[in-house]
Amino acid sequence: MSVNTILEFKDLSFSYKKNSNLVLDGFSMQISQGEVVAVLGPNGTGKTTMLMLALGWLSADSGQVELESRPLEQFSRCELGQKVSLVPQFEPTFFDFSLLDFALLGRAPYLGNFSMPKEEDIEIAFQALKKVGMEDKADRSVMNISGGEHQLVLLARALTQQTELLLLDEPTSHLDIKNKSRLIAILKELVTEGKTIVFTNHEPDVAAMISDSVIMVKNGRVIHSGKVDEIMTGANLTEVYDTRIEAGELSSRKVFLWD
Amino acid sequence: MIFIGLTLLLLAIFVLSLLAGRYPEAGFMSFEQIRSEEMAAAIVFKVRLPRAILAVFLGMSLAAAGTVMQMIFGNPLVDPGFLGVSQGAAFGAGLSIVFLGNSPWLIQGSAAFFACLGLFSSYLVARKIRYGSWVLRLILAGICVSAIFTSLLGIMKYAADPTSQLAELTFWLLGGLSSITWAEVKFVVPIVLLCLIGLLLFRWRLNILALKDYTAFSLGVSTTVERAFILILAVIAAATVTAVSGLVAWIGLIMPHLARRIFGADARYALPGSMLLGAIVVLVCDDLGRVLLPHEIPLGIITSLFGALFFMSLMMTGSVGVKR
Repeated sequence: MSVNTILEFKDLSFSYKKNSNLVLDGFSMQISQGEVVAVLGPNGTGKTTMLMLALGWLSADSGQVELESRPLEQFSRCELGQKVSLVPQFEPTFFDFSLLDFALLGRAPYLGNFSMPKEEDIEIAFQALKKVGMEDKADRSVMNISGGEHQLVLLARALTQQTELLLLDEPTSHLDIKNKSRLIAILKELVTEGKTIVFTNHEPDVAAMISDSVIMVKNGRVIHSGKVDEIMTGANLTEVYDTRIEAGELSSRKVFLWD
Repeated sequence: MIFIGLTLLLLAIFVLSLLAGRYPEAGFMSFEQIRSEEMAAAIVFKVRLPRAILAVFLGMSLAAAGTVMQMIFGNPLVDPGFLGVSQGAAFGAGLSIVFLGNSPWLIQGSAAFFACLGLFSSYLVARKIRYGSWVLRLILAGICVSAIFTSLLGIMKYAADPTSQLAELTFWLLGGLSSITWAEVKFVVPIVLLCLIGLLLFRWRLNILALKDYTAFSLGVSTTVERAFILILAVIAAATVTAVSGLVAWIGLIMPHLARRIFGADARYALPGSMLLGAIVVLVCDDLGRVLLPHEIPLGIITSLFGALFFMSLMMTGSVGVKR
């Protein structure tokens, strides 16, 4: 299989305000199709910023984000919606949509301003709910589900978008161990279908379980990035989390012990 | 199914509205009477018919504007009175009655102009506020602009001639359809119809505008442009009907809630549902106002009375969409 670069950060610099601390300073990275990349770091360090830059919601001060070798700005809004989807950490809503209607919103990039979703769109949304194991609750209200189910429904909406690249913000933050393992299984399945996944996380274990590459962020700066095996060492993690962390292996799976 | 039922109900009430009244005494006219009596026919076709048509459009516009604003602002407690629209219209009417002359066209024109000015100033102020999200900024700006118009309206009231102008201004502020003729219908209906059709065509997309900005962005939506477009349609519709009816409160707040309760939150159903309900409720309220007492009760009073009572019961029987 030839490896195509799907997303590339090219010499990216970014700060939230002019002349304040740079969050990114000449950051470069290539992400290949089918790759899983974890943006890892403690809470509140600018991990989400990375996702928002990849989404095009934030734009860099200098440098470029390229999607399929084209600068992000050259894509129309609709095109981007068909290529990149976002799974926010949490999305409060005051309106009790059914889960199916909510997932269906993922069809927006494919439908014109004045058109209604058709049968096939509804089918795509239903299949997405099925994929995250929520099809039995398709008629339930988004306001009456647990935080974990909420995250799964947000993932279903992104799947309804049928994009090649998925950006997930702390996808496991509201999930218990059973749902975490389910989510990881779903993500692995998506990768075998050729999807590329970039997600933020603060748990090294989850990151090591599914990702190929890791971007470590601390105090709003990228301090290490590269392949999991090279980067996720005890020393690097200790530096990122300001806590002594030992990396080990148990039944050929990376485990991390911390004080 | 419910849609067909509600549409039939609206038609039935519409016909009954034409027959109901106080000519020659409280009750319903017979078709026979309309055929035989010239006076009866004139009352039905020249007075009650335009009025009933306007009531339908008033209800639909306010309910639609309410649904749209609640979704766009992601806040189920918003109604067309936000963003300075209602208070702007009220000030415009007051200005016209007290200083510019009280011809109906002048009052309506001035009300519509200041309603739009209210929206426009809210928008400009919101752009300058350096605080909070876009939605919060708009709401804050709307509160300030509304307060300014309310104070200016207070000056108008104070300056008004208590024997003639004040009464007229008060009647306008209470809202009512007693002065509606075919002329108003011809002015209002084409504008409102265009806006409402636009909103109906756009209604699925409205669901996405209710999401967070970056989520809507990730779904390929240009939030700023699309929100502005749909908000302008909603405000034009609401301002146009308000210009001829005066302030009719609560419809824009409650109908969306009721519609969501019946049809679910998806605007594909909630928007047309709330428009139908708005038309039915305004028509019934207007009928009650005409028929109950020998002197007409202003529509705005009836909608406020029932609206507030109804909203209370709605909140007591279940969620109005605000959790915690």
